[in-house]
Amino acid sequence: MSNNGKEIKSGGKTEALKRYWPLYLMFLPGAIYLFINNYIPMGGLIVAFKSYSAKKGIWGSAWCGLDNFKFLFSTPDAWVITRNTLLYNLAFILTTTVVGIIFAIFICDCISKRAQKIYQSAILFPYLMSSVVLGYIVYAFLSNSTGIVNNTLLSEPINWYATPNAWPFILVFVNLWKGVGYGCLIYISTINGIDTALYEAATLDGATKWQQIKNVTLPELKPTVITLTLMSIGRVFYSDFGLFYQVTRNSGMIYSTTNVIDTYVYRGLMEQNNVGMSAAAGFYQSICGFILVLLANQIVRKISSENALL
Amino acid sequence: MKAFKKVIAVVLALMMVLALVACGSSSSGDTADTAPAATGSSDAAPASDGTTKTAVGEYSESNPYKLTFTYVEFYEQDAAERQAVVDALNEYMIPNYNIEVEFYPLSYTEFMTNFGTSIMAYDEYDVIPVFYSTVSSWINAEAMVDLAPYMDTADGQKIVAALGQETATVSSINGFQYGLPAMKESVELGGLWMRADICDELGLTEKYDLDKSDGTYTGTIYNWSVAGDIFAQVKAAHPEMTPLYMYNSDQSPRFYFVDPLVDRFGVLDWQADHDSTTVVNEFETESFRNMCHLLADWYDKGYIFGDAATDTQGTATMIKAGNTFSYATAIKPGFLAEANASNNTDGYAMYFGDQVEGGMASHSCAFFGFGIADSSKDPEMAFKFLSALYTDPVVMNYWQYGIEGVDYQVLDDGTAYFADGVDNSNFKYYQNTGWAGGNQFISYVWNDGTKDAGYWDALAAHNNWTYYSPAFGFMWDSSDYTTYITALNTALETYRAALSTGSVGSANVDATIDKLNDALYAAGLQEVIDAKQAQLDAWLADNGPTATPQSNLDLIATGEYIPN
Repeated sequence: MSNNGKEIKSGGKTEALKRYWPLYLMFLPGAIYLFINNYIPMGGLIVAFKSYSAKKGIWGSAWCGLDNFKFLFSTPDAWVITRNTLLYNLAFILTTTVVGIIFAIFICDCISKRAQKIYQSAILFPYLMSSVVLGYIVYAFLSNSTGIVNNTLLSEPINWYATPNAWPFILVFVNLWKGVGYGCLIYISTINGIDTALYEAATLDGATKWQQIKNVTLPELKPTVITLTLMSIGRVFYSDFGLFYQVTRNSGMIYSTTNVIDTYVYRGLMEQNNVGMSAAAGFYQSICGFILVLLANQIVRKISSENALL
Repeated sequence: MKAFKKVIAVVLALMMVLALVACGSSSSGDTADTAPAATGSSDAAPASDGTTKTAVGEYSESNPYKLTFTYVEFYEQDAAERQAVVDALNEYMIPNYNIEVEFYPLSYTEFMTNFGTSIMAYDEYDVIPVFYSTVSSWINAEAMVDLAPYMDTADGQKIVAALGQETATVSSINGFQYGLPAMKESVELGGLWMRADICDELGLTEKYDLDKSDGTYTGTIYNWSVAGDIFAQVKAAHPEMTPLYMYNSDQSPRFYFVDPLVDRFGVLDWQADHDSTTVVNEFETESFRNMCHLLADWYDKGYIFGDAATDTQGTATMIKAGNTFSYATAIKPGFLAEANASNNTDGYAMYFGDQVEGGMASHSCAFFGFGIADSSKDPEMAFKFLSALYTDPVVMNYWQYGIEGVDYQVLDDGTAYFADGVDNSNFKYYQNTGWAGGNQFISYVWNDGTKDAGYWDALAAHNNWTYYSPAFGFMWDSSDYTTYITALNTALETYRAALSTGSVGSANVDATIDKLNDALYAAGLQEVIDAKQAQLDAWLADNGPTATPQSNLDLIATGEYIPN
């Protein structure tokens, strides 16, 4: 990608346009779609700074400065929800990446193609499940009166939905179970794309399986890992609403370890229909995510510049 | 990095330009600063020449005002039949009101989730459904018409005559009347629905005369400790059964009465003093603590469903599953037949409470209703239609039950039921949702086999078994405190389910209540209480405290409280 960029520069912009216009043409519909769907609505962010009046509309409403942002920061919950959002997302990124790579390597080494396909599909299946269904599966395990865990594994039942300390582990595990398949699939396709000559050469040199993984597979996976991680970091201030709302069954007693920015905003604003405050919350999440992506990209550039996105 | 900055700059610039183009056209709504109906031409019927003049326009039979009537539909209707009903209704509306109605039905979920967004976008509506706890943000966004000036017109006076002054104006915040309440039983009275077969088996039916009641309140109310004894018997006879099903829905009005002054953050403690106008913290009252202890005790004894704090299945599902004895619920005349039908199980209704008859507060009366959207082209005409929903039986009957002879028939005793060949499973048009808006008391009684023509009177009479809150008619304006309310809601929700279902356990009740109160005060409860008190004092200075009518007091005096 970066090589192409250099060529364009050396050739001058007009020449590049002449040379690549069919490619730009192909890119156009997607660009227009992105523009209409993702960029135009951004204008609405202005509502975050207004005391919204339906009668006067977005532009006619009076400005109110940062008043709408107050509810995010003026409460004692601000620290808890920010901490939860960040830490959960970091844990999610770490676990799904590590476990995803391990699974991908295992699956690629399956000799039977048939088994490979089965494992691949099986691991992806939870990813396609709605979080409502997921919530009920977890509930089947953890329910107080009829749960599998309380009725078979434990002699002394635990009220899971009122035990805050258990939830960081439960949620990380559930998210891993649900999410690992997606990244895994991408890693599998990357591994399949690695030149087999590399492995053959390694085998000839007498490399063990572990050495092959360490010296061939992992380095080849690095760009994919970095891209996927950068993309997840951009969403680190968002959270999987379904996971934190449905899977916890909206249980109050565990808010201290399960309340994240999205669920806080939902609970707070569902009742109130406050357009300005909702926009402020979204704005805050986007700006933080944007800054984080730039920062992460900078760090990647320092460590291995050819893998940076921008 | 330089190239990147350029890209960003271009993208941002383009974004702003496009946003301006896209949104710049949205402010065309405020062309006519619609003046209230002070023009004097607001008689209910069109003037003698058959035209209706308003500040905005002039309408006649050939040029009627086209009005959108938005309401919540709780059962699925046949679209073609609904249109037929609208056409039939218009044959009546156009000559009599110079209004041509168009129905705009919402599902309940749509109403609770998406409709607010549509209101915020200033989409064009006339008459719209309102819900007391979301409406203040609509008022705040200038999306609602203030009905107060219209109440002085002839149409408005007809409404006052039909509903009574207090009820007609109860949906008001800070002097801004946003709507008219649905006419229904509004009193907070209730107790338990219990399975009939188990009651018969354990001799409870005889002991408490359970088979004599259809749900109508007769003044006999039992202390909750009686319920504890009943649960103990059920538990002993059927250890596999859940004596009391509770779920994540607040049943505290069953155990004690406070006037929540809309949102529960700062209340009037009736339980301690019926006449108190001092705003206090509900979660520090004796009543709240007693309820929590009682429920936690039941939970520890295994009377309450183990997953109560997180369960959302609802009562009908659990009763049908066959493993549940009872649930706590509000009760009203005719309740039993409806509950038995939806539970598919025979049951009895028994009133429980804590020495106090039901309470009437602003929010329970103003719960659902209809208002007028500020985006209405002609609010005067919209008000005429609104007035018809409360005073014209023809309009109510069309909207509620459809076309006579096609969708429903009027029985000999003056009640209504499905037309021949139509029933609950194959109806094309049937709303029967007068409890959510309009004045159902002027429409036919829907006789599903358990009701008679006197049913509306029985419902209205149910409201007489009540003390009025001194703040009845007052609704607090929380618009300057939305930040606080958001934080307070989170604090309350953290502990509410565990406390109000007992699942916190007896040992932890006091500690958890302390934690709840700490969290509430940290979230600014004191500021909200102070603001509420100031607004209430101002309201009391203008209106004086609302007194409970003497007839209600006399009626309540005839009741019987059974402490144990």
